[in-house]
Amino acid sequence: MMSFPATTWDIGILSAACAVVILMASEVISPHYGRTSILLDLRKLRIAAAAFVVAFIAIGIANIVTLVSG
Amino acid sequence: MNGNSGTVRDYSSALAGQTRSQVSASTALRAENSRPKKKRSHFQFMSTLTIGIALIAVGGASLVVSYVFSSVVITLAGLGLVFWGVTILYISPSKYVPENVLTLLSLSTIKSIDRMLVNMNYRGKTIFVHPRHLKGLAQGYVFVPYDSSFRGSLPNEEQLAEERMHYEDPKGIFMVAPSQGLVDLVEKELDVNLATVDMEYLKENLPRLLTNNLRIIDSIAIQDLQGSVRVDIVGDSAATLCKAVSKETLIGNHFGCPLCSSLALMISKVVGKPVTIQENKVNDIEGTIVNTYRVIDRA
Repeated sequence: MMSFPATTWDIGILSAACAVVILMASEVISPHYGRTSILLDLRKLRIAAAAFVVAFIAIGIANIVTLVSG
Repeated sequence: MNGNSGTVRDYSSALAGQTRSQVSASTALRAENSRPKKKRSHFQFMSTLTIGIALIAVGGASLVVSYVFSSVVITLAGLGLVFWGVTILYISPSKYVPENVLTLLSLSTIKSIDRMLVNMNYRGKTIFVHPRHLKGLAQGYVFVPYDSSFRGSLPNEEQLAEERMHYEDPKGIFMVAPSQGLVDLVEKELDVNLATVDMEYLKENLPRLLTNNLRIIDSIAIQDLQGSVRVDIVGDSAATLCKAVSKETLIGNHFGCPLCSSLALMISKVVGKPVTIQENKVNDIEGTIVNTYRVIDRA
């Protein structure tokens, strides 16, 4: 039977993990890696990390509300 | 093929009148040009757009497959790839210009002005003036006196409003400041006319703009001294360009690099008086610039 196996908790945990990795990356990596010449905007990277954190918190609150009300 | 053969024959007949060494050099150059280039340019960079779209595509495909097979592992992998794809698309800088290009463009412009002034024997110290009260002059100008010992006054406001290039009393060249662009950009970003603010406003807002928003330097400190303004700048790119200007031009120390001359214009506009670069110390190894601007009271 075809179904989407991931729950909102899974997506929330994935968001949290992504946020941690991105935040750490924004602190330690250089905006310009010479070997591949890929350019990064570190300020936007930190904003992306914050967005993932917000997504994680929103999913967490939504789940708690569902548990309490249901 | 025939066209190519014809071209080669034309070259051969054109080369007939040359000496053997010239012919061999030309042949070597042609061979070099026709050889495929293996080394890629330093300025060529891989687009993060391609990487982002590829990650999103693979992630989307993984999500479809995970839906069909109900696989948690593939779902999480797909979500991760989509997240990273979107993130990479978002964090890619919208515009990219190699620093070397900007440095060389700025340097060549200043060298051109330097050569012109030196050939015309204008040896005076550059005076930056951003008039506030003149009709029609809504931008910064530089006045380069003919005499290196010039200590007199600038032409009066009526004379300057004529927007002539040459002035005889005092003798000098009056031209639009090449670094006016940064002043305009600062005013646009701060959404303020610098003629209406004071030094305190500049000290408070300019460092944040230049370091956080425009990101052309790492830090800047402005000190308002008695009759002069000291500016300490930290930034590798700015220091490298400033050092190159000082080293490769005769007027560099007082005409200033684009950043130093822009700051002179900003100070002139804020205080409402002409300004000169009194002292310019650059350390390109440590990436520091220390400028002292003298505010001229007699305008």
